[in-house]
Amino acid sequence: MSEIILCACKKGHKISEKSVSDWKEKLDAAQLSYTFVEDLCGSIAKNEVQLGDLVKGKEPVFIGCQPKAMKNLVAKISSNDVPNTFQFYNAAESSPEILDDKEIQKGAPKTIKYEHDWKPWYPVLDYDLCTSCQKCMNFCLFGVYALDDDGMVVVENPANCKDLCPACARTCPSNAIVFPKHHESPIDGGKGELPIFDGGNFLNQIQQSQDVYKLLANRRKTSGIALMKDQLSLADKEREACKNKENNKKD
Amino acid sequence: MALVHMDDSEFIKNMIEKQLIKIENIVPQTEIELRQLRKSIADFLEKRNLIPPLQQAELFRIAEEYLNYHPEYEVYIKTILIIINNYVWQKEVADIPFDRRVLLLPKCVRNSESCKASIDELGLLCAQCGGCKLDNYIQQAETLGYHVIVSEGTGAVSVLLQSGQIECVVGVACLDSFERSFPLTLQQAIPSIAIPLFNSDCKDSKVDESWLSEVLQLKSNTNNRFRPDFRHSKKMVDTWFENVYLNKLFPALDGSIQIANKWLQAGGKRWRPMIMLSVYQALSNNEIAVNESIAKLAIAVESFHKASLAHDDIVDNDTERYGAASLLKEHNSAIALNTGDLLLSYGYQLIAESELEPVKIQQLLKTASHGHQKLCLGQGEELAWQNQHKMPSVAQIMNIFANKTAPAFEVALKFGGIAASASDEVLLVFEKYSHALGLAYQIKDDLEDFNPDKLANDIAALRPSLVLAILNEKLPGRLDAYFQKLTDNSNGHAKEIYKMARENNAIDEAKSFLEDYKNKAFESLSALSNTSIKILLFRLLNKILPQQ
Repeated sequence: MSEIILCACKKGHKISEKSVSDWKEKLDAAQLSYTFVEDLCGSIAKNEVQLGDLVKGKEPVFIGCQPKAMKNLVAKISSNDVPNTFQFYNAAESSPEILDDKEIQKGAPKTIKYEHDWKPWYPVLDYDLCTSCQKCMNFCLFGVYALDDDGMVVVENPANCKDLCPACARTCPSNAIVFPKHHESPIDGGKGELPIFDGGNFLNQIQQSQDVYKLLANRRKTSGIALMKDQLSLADKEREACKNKENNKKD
Repeated sequence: MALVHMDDSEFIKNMIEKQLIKIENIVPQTEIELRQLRKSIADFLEKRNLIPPLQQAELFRIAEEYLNYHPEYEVYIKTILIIINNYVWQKEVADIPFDRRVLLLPKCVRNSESCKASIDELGLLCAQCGGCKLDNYIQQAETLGYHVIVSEGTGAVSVLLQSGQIECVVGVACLDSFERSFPLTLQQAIPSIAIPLFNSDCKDSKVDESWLSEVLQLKSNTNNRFRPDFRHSKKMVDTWFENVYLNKLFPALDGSIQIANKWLQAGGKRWRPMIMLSVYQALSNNEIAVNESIAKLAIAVESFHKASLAHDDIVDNDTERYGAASLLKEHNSAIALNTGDLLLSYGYQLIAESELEPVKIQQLLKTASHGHQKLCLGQGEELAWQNQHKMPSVAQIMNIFANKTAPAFEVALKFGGIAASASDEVLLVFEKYSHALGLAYQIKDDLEDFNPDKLANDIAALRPSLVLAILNEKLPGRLDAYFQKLTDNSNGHAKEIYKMARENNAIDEAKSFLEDYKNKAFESLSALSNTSIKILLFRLLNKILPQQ
């Protein structure tokens, strides 16, 4: 038995109103039972939704933003890995035919509301890719990331994240950071890869070097050459902007 | 660099509750006030013989005492902790050549409007355009020979510090930033001086320039002091285990000797010889005067260790060691036993041939034989419990651990100490340190092995486990059934026991034992008056028991 979960991205408008209403219309017309989630990011971050409430032993079909984004969001509330019986579809890019081979109960839709002011803008980590290198953690000035007991990087304080800032995702050498509400692929979990920043791979060089002092001296010698790569430069600017906003708030 | 997470100290907590600390404004705001505060602290510390590194708790104690005399400075507690730590390290920093020092400057000193510098992973690559004060600081430091890094936050810097190669740090940062980086410099026991920024709001930051300039120029006349560096010691130790050298000592004319020499070379870490060598160098304050006597003693220490491993593998029926076949597997138990015995003879032969003064040889023999006896007594006690199918009490487990693990450290440390003519006081510190470190190390090992997968084997083999012993004391009798019926369903039992241990906080209690002994090991070092050896043992402790 499948259970449909339709997210409307109330706070991020990542999913167009039209595709949400199209889906609702078709599901209602077929009298299929489904769960309408106003904002999956929000409900998960606020701990207002448990996986059990959503799927109750059924095979869930999530319809919403980028499949990769939703999958990693769901992983946050799933104590084990996300089972491969879970399916994720982009609302705008898929049609109700995907339900053809599924067994779905008839009935009235349920709604999970999201009624907070806070816009749930925060990163989710794709642990298939994340190596816990801690670059994001060190880059973020606002304490979004932390290490858990096993030394894994986790999104500890999603609410500390600054609206619209995806800077840490650009510093990730594994492309493991997804901002579900970001407007661009691949940071939103869509196709493509960010150019990997090598920064001269300076930190790796330090870790492997037998003579760190020599490395520092060489860095100094070549510092006239601009080492800044586009992605890191952009990340730096985005972060700077967040910091300034924060400081202005304090003033 | 001095600071501590505030919740680490009851003292600070109380002060916050009493609203004695105003978090916003904790650095004196003028150069004159800062100078007065430094002077006042220096006067207070002058007569105390403080040897770095100091632990957090010691720093707090001293700060508290200082504030008893100067309650008017209470609001500056964080700055005071920094200044005390600076004072303690000052002499050490002055001994380190300029070109082995790193100056860390904060990015926020730059003019954020006009700065055109590019950045890399480590931080800002200053264009030295003169648009802000960074240019001046960098010039002064680089003219002296410093390596300068303009960074932000602590991330990139922590990678640098963790490399274990940085010998000295002068850091300028805000108090918040020091709080984060302190645990790291503490762990690495890196000689360091910290200068707090006047402000903490991450922009257009200002630093006390005269203080910075004074610190940058710190310089003593002695440059040749021994500075512990494990990688360096490792290189030297490795040469002693090369074929050429070993075959000179023990010509491989005979099959048994060939097996023994090969086993002696196996496994790459060589912790014990490295510890021995570093201790010797630290105490004799000399990197160069390592002679053949020291090489022989280092090989002796490793021979004793390898002998015990050969025998252990027989007892535990282990077929693998260092990712390869154990002696037991490669040959058989009789050969493994014989090789172990042969290696014991190597150890005693090398002590005899070390050509040290007779009184030192006597001390070495006493240390080695004492270590062996403890090891055997610990093992014997463990075997006795296993035969009775019972789990020993917590106190008994501790006794077993102390006997089985402490000698490994104690023999290596004392060999280095004896060779360097260490005093009885220093040797006594080694004993206390090894005892605490050995216990902590074994508890850590125990905790790592305490998971449902490994537990099944451990229960089946009735291996003494601290967690199990704690659980057994909490739930008397409940575990007996598991220990008596070892063969049936040990996997299922393991899961049940693991759950019980979690629910009854047995794991957490074992963790607090670990912390206790780690602290005891740190505390044992306070009796040392030689900075090099204190730094060395501090670093060793943090290497063997890294912060969780």
